[in-house]
Amino acid sequence: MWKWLHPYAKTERTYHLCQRLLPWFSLLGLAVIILATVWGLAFAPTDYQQSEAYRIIYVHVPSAVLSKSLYSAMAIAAFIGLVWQVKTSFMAMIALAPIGATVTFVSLITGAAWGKPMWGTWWEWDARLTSQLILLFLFLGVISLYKAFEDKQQAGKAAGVMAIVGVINLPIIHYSVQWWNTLHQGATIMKLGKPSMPPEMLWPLLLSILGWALVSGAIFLLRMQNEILQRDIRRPWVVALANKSLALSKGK
Amino acid sequence: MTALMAILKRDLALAYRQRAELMQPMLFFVLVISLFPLAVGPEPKTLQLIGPGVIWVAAILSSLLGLERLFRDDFQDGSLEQLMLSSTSLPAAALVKVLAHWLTSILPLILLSPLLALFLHLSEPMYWALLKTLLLGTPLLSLIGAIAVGLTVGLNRGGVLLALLLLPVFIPLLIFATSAVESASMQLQYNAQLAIIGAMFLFSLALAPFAIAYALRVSQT
Amino acid sequence: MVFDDINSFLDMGGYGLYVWLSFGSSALCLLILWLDSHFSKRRLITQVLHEQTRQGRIKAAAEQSATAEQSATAEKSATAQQKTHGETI
Repeated sequence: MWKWLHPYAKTERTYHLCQRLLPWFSLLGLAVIILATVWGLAFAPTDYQQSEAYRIIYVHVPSAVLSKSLYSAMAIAAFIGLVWQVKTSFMAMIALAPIGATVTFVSLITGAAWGKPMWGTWWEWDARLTSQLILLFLFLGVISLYKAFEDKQQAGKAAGVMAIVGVINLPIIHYSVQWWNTLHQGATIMKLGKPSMPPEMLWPLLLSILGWALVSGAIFLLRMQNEILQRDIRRPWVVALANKSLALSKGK
Repeated sequence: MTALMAILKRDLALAYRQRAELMQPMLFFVLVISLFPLAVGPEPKTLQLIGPGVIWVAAILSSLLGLERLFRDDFQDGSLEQLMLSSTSLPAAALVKVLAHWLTSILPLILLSPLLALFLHLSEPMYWALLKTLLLGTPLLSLIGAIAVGLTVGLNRGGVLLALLLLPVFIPLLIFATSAVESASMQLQYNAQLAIIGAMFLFSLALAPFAIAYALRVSQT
Repeated sequence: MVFDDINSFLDMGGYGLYVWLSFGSSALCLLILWLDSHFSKRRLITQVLHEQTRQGRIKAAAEQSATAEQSATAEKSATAQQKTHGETI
């Protein structure tokens, strides 16, 4: 059933696939993200409880959703690489990691920026922010482990093991932090409350999640290509490719 | 079976000969915990409040320090490779080595815990809860820690990387262990927390040996 | 358009700082990520081309020295032949 995937274990095929997909993801992603952002910032109705501050939802939720999906994607790539010994899968894993770390970081900043007007402090150890912080550490751990190895084959496998250890722990961490948070409620009730979502508010949110996903996909395609180029830098097809792009740029 | 017993005896004997090195995590443990009264003031109520958390964090950090020993010496003199090439099951051997490591590096910390409970003015029910969480939870530190040590054994600068990899993974254990001790301080039941820690321990006991063996194979190619 | 004028848009009901901080930092982070990826690709391709020119130079130098050796040995054998020729005469 998976035979159609087999050619993509080869770096050259995957590189060209990324090249073909790149314009779609980047242009579409940019368009959707701009549309969704403008819609959310200027056209979505004002919230009754949180006034205009709720608009931060249009960057906080997409980044938070993506941080978790990108980690899962990274773990799946790690799993495929470890079980089926597919090199390109490890490259995909390490291409995803910095993107995941960045969107997690954005979710933390936007979470803090949302928290300040709503709770009065920039940082609160609520369940969601704390889980996001730990997720950031997990991403950075995978990246650091990968970079610590000279041999990139070893690096991929080692980072893959850590990615999977992390993904097994993710639900445990999430629920334990949530539970911990209920114990330590303290005086303030921390509700990063989702405003009740009428469709006029919901649609730009869904659209912005889609936009962020597409843009992340585009950046992933780029980084995947970079990984492939780095790994295959001496191979004839890469040299031919470089010459072709040189000829193209000269022709311009 | 005799091979595994031989490995256990060997590791215990080697650890005994390196007693000085084994003292280091213990001293670190005591030192770090002693820093807290100096930092936050000696008021017993405050110390009792932060006590369980401080002892557990210090235990985690001290065990991280001691984890490097697990495969380092064997790696350097080649016996790790021999072990991997031998007919002994690598997961079983890994488990035995982790056991030896826990007995020599972590059990001493647990034996020190009464003293530290005294330093931090923990009440008696709190101390019993602490002891139970330590006994049930520290094997988890060794088992999961060994996976990361197996991955980084060949690297020169493993130290802080090890902490970076393992600390997020130890957070649930920290949460439940300290919550158990806190419940004890309020004379409440803490069986639920112990049960969860126990579940995590059994889960890692079942799976970690294989992960450790795999990690060793990855780093030793 | 929910806002009456550009000022109220920027002000965001008093929460302008937080809203624009959020959107600004998101845009900035994505932009930096994109730029890093894009310029890495450019760098890698230039690296390949440089390596190629370098290999070309090495090959050319090797060929030159090879032909130089060849002509040197050819000359030597020619003069050696002349000598023996001269001797026999």
